[in-house]
Amino acid sequence: MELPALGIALLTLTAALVIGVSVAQSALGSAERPTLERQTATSVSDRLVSDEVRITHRKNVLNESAVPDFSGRDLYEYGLPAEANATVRLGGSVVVASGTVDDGTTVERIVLVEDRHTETIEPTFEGTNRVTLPRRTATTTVEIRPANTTVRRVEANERVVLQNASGLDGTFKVELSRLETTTLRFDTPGQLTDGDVRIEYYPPEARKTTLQVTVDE
Amino acid sequence: MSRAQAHVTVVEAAIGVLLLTSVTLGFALGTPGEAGHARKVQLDTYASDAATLLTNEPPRHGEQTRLAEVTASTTAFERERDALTERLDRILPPNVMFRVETRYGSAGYPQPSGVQTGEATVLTTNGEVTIRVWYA
Repeated sequence: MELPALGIALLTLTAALVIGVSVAQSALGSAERPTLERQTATSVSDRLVSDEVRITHRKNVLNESAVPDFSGRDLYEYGLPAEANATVRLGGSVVVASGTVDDGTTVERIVLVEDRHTETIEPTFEGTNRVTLPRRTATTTVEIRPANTTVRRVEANERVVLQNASGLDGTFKVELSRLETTTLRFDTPGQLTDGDVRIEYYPPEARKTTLQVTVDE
Repeated sequence: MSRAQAHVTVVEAAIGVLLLTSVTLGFALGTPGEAGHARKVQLDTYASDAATLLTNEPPRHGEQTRLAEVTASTTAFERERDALTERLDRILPPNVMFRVETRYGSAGYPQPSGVQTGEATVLTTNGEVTIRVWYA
């Protein structure tokens, strides 16, 4: 009577132990997976919105024209492990997918998508040698073709950006500050007239959206 | 006599099973919840993204950046408050509410007590600006 009872007791205990260990393992495993996926998704999204990748203009601002060139292979360059799959959505629509993502963990980032279009002004210079650009811009292309005078210097907000003692003639690219309105001043001995200067500038058009990175490991 | 001994073994086994079950339940129910942590991380991300965008935005009037402008003086803050609220409203997802704190005052929605928030603090030339966000 004693031996069978002991045997059954041992069997019951062993069964309980096995069930216990397997439940614990699956519980720990399932707690770990989303955390790891979240970590990966966060680090990939951090890279995607940083200012050193080619799809961004600056931090959290994407370059609209560079987004279509973006490919799934880039994701692995930005820290996605080789065995993981990921999807990147911009404003809800899929931009890049590598592999199939069934259920993953998503990290959402707030970004602006910026598109720069080209605007041109041809100042008439009536009684002045200054031009104020109507919108802020990071770069501008100045074409100087003076008919009756020479342009020795161009200043942007009192800062000399172009200079040539014998006269500037041609097309020049000028870097400006996109944080302030710029006034260009042309230093000439005579008076500039309509058509002497043509300025192209690139004001940004930004719209806000979200960038979602879903990782399935 | 032998009956009593068998009983003791069964009782011991039952106690053993109970102990193991309790440990198992501890694992099954007690592992740290991912959901709460995930929400906190996502909210922090929203706050820091919004702060990054505002930091890199040109000011509307003076100062170097938009965030430096709002914490420049009481007048500047009063003047910029509505524009800042509107801007953040537009930047953040619709289900996220926010409050901005500077040393000249706060803008945004009143923060309810007991909600999970994410926050980001940015140091500008004129002092700190804290952005707090929470799910509406």
